[in-house]
Amino acid sequence: MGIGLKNPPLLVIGLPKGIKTMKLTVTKENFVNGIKRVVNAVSTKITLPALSNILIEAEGDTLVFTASDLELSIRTIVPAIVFEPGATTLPAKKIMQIASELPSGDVTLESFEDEHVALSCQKAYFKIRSLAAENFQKPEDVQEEWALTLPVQDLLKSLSKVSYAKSEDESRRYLNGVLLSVRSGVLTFAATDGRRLALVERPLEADSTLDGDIILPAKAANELSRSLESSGDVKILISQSSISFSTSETTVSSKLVEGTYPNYRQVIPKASKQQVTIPRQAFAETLRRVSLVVSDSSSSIKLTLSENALTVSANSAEVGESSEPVEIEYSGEKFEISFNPQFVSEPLRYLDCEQLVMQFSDDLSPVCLTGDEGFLYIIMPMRG
Amino acid sequence: MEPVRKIIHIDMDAFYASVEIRDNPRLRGLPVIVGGDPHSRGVVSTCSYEARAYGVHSGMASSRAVRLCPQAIFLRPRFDAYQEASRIIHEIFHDYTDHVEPLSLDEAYLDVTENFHGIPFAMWIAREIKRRIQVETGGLTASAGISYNMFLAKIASDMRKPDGFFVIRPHQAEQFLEKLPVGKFYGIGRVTEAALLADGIKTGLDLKRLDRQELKRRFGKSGDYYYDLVRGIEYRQVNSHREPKSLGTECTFPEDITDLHKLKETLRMKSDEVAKELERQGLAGRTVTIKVKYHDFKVVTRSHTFGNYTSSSSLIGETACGLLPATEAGTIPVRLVGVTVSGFPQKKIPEIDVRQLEFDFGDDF
Repeated sequence: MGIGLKNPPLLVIGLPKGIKTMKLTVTKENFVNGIKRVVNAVSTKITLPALSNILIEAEGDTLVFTASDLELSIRTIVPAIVFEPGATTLPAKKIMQIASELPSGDVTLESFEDEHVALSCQKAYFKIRSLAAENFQKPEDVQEEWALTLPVQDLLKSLSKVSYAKSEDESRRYLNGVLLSVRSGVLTFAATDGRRLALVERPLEADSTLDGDIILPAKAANELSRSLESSGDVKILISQSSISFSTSETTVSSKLVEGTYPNYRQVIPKASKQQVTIPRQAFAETLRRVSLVVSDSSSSIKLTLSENALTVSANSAEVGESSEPVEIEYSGEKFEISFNPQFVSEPLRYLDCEQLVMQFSDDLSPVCLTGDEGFLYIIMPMRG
Repeated sequence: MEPVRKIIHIDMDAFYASVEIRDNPRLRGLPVIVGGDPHSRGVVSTCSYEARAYGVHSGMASSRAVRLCPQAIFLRPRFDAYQEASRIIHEIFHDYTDHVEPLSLDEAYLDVTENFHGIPFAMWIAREIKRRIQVETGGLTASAGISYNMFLAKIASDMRKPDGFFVIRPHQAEQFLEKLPVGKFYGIGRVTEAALLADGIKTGLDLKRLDRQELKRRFGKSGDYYYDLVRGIEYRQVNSHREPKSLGTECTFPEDITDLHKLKETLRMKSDEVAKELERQGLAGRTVTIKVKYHDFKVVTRSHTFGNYTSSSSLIGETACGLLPATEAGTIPVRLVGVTVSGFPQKKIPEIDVRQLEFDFGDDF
């Protein structure tokens, strides 16, 4: 027998007779990449036997990898030389480990009716327990009700600029995901935890008659950047209960979060009394330094605006205190406002702009941060 | 017939201000205002009864409060102290019942129809709670209202403030409600109140004269609620957020079954029942578990956990059927199968960070 598998031999009742054997050759690089792109869809929790496996299908001159936890499914195609078309499933974690340790070269896979796969690469040989492809619940194709296409880079960047603001509070499920909203030709990505809101807007190129909102689950939002290749376009299909993102090689599909997203537009201040321009990089570094004295999650940092300076300061009983000014142009009245330090520093990490614009009215009203094209961030202050 | 319920509404008297006075007895007898700085557009959180005599009330701009009562002593809130007092009070409540619905740090409904000590009269419990609050918080007072529904209990607690104690008995309810100004009715805000007053509807009695049709026209879906409410009937339940940990159902077959198709069909049916019940209770879970009892009464369970919460009948059904091959069903005859959904979102006891301000998304969120 081959290597010791963590998953015990899986009991399959009434083994279907005459499973087609499969035989193919694929480069190690393509084999690893294919697995890597899909493997995170596999649930880390104890799961259905077939769902802890990756479905591998050889057809035409391609090898197709599919993994799913029934909510999120990822499917990707790599080129291969197929001698005998067929399909099987292999334990996800183990095959990932094996694939990454293989020497470079061609990998040959052969599947046998008694539920094992022979894998060879140069001198290495594995005989791995597999599970018949029939046990794998393939994701249903997303029925196209809306479709839109945009550059993959735009999708991934927009998601990264808002995603961190989503809520971790499980009792507000609809806030755990990222909102994708299309309104009169504008696509908006938004996330909020009720205390800050991040959004990115971009116009849609094609004349769009779509109008609607969907909530993308957190897991899907996180996996997209790992699974989609970073160039080219992504086609997004949306139906009532699911969504899919397809590039030329990969499709990530997910169930949507049920529920209605709050009317986030109403928390965007209509007007602000003052605004200042702040150098992003310098501000981010200062925030990082000063926040070091903050010891617990309920502590705040204070921003003080005075003659040509924005001073960041913080203190805690356990550590001590810190303060540092950032040079800006300001000539208004002295003004103080407190925030959760994470809420201020987080968005800065994902932006590219040189300068940020901060707009504010008073120390108990929401503050707006803008910078990159189409980006808007609103934070509620803390009572000082 | 349902037994008459016994609801207590406890409301602390001038809570923040009372905590300040407790911790600094020299403030006793003085107009004390806890709230934002009058010079920077702060608002009044709470004020002592002495300050109320000058017309100061919570929610008022601090600058206005100063004009009304220039000698008032302004204090910045100390939320830690209030939270600590609140914790003590809520612990007292839970000594009597778990049917406690907190409305804020200093206010809660208790349903004591059934209570841990089998105390027959809500009045006894309310008196004991009031006394214990005073002792265990070091002198804070509360007002208690007792009645057979939540709305009337709340009205009652407001009758004799501070340190009040008031009971509205079923036969007195309608008379109370008839005299009650419309603005005091649950759910009638300032806008609705103004509209009612403009039409000469000032009291519960005026409201009672409107028929169901008219109430529906004015209140939409809530019309029926108000029709009942002015007649002393309210079905709202004290919502203690005690949610079940799991929800499931099972079924024993008349004879042992080996046919996988039949088993799957049953699992789908049971999943559908569970999904409907989840929906009804507004719940969604992350873990689907199947239970299989073999003919020899040996029981196995298999479960699958998702990343997200679901109440979808098809997803629960698919998952339940998908778990079946992980059991020996099909070879060993089965006498019972069950489907359970668990892993509901954890309702953390809101450790509210009182300093972090939140967005106001409107009523529904």
